Amino acid sequence: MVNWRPYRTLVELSIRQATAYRMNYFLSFIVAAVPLIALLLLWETIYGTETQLAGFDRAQMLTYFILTRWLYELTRPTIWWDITYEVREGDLVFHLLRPFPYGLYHFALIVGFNLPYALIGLAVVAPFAWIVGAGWIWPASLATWLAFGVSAGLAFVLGYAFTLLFSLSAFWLEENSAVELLVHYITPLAAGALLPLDLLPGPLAALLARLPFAKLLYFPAQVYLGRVSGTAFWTGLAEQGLWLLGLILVNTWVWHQGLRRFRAVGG
Amino acid sequence: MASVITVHGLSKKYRVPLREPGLRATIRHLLAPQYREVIALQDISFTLEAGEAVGYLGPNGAGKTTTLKILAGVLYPDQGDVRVLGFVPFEGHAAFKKRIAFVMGRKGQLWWDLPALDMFRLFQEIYQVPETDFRRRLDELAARFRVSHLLTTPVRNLSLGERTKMELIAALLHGPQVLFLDEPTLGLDVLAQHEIRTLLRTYVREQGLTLLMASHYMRDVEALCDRVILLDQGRIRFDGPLHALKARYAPYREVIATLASPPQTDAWPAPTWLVERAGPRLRWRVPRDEVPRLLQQLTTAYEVTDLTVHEPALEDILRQMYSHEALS
Amino acid sequence: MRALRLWLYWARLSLGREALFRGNLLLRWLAHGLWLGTAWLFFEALYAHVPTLAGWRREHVWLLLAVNEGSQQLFNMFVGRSLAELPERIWEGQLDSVLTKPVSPLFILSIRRMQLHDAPALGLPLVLGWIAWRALDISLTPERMFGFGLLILLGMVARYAVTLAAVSIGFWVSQLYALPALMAVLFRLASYPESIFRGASRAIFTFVIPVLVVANFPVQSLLTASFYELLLRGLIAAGFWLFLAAQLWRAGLRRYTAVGG
Repeated sequence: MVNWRPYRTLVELSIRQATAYRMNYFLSFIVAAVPLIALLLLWETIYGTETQLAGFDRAQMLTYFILTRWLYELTRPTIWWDITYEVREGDLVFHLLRPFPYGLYHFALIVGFNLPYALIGLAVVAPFAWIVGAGWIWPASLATWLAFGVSAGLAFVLGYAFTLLFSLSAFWLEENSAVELLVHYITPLAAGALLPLDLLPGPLAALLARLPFAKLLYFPAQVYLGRVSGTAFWTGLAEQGLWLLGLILVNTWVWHQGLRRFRAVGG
Repeated sequence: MASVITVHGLSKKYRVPLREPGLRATIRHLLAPQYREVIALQDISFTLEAGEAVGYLGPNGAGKTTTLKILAGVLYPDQGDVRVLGFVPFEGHAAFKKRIAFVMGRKGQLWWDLPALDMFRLFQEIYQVPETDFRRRLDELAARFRVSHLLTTPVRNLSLGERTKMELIAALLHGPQVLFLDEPTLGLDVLAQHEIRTLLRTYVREQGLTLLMASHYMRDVEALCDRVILLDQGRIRFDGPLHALKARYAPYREVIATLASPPQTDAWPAPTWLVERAGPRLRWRVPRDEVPRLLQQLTTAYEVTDLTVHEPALEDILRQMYSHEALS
Repeated sequence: MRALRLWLYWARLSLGREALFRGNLLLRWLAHGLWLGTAWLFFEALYAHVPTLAGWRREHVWLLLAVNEGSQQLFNMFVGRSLAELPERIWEGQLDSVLTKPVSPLFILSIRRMQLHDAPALGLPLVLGWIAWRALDISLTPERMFGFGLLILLGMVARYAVTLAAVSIGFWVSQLYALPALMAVLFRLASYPESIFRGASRAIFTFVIPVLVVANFPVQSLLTASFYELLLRGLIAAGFWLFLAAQLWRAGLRRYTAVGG
């Protein structure tokens, strides 16, 4: 039987740790929301003359950007500096001493970190949904809500799987610059945070739709808007699950390789 | 009964990656890594019985921490057979992890922003310690270490000594049977060192823990351990009772006498051993066997106002040994 | 003169330090390129579906992107990094050594981490700007060039002032050390054409958050004849922020010395 209590406590501790720095926290979401004003104004301008853009009408587009502004903060891969630090400074030793899996330890921490962040984000983004009024779309049915919930949840776990992988690169790389670049500049494009993939040039859109990054944001957002349902939904969900499974395997392998190296140099 | 710790023919080499800064060097290293080999341990063997407290001594880089990490299951041995409580440590069985603890003086596992108690709770759950055991141990340890009033203070606001105590409590809460300590009093002031030493001694003895402690502070070892293992350049130089180490490597005693009036003549007692003369104060370095004779001579022939006999500190013995080894 | 000598000294120092990490440097240029590439792709995707954005054609936006990126690069090369690191230094009480020196502390603190080695990253915006300029067939009279340069300078002043104000808040609220970095994120808004901002939002993004001053004003000075109006609006926005930042900085320093760091 799984012993859930440590996870609950880790989440709780992480929440408290995170809210100890709530000022920066709060602020980063507010600042991230300001560009949303400009973005929405841009779309208002465009839909002043157009009615459809790559199959998106005004309401769908506005909703897409407001929703993804919030969701991407939760599902986007980052470098989790705690892991990088522990690997570099040797504090990983403590984890090796404990009868507790490392990947899940940090997953619990990230969940805890993100819970208050998600709520703050909701408070920051909700006014936008209210301002655009008729431009805001609610999911068509309870089934859509459920489908969105499942795909967004999977996206969050998938995002963590990427985060773990990127962070574990610290076993080999003294310098994370290259990995950080990938995270900061390529994933927004590949995940659909920059634009819905449909608006990108055909071949690029087709390529990105195949990559797992699209499952971090673009896919759940499409589900929310009801643009993906039925068989397409189940296929997408299966792909999402397969990517996740694959990443878990890769992570396990990388972790063992990294550990071997860590142990070879003496921890 | 079988020994708690058995180490047989243990050897360990490190492969230290040769890395340079910069992207090109990083890529080159990823493609064709280059390593430098460092021999950490060479054919080490020893055993520890239940309840034994052993000091593990040696200069920096002698392989002390490496041994402890191997015993705690953090590192793999290259060669040799290592068993702790019947387990092969690096296999990492949960049952093994729950019965050992490893405290590193230079690293802490507590989070700085939260009170220690919160972390203790977490460890209780990770190690699945029953609530009654947890309460009993925590109350007892906190009272003993005199930190009961600090349990809800964020770790950031504790002094280094208090933090060290919290780290020790964190490591002892799951009731380990084997305790590995690596420089547990590192960086503490003399008072705090003394306090922690004393606390550890009584706790380890009362609980009958098996202890292996690496330390630079010989007082740690003298206070806590009856037996020492001396390590140098990855090999064991000495393994035996503390007093035997002293007998073997420190056959001398220092005798200091202050006489009521400086004698007029040059006819000193035991002139061959005399090393210093400052007015009425005289200092000898005497073989242990000669000490009684000298003392007798002094007290019968002179009026002595002050007399002390020093056993050389372990620190001095080791310093002497290492510098000697380095020269030869 | 003395300021110039000091500046040259720091410049040499910064170049020497970074020459050690050439690989890292390449990555940073790549990052700048990626950033511009992403912004370019964003607008290209839009122009694939619409001919203009409220009057702005694709070439106009190219010019805007080039100017914004170039101005941002220049800002970062000279003062950006130094300012971003300042709140942390304030927090850790590390200003003392600078305050005891017989030069303006703000001057030293603004230039101590110059990133002159990032200069090659200016290449990409220059190329993009050149392409846009050729496509738009703008005639470059000396007056236009001068006005353009003046407005770019004004934009950098505005950027500096806002960032300095954000830094100064660090004297009071140490937790907000990320604020200057967040301001940098905000200024990315400068790559949106002014025409999409209507009514109140235009005034807000000119004066309250002066992002339009940074790139839109110089570009418009090349495209339209309203140079003096742009100059006036820019001067008001930059002047207001500079005044505010100077007051905040001075009050902050007083507080720092009073509290004792």
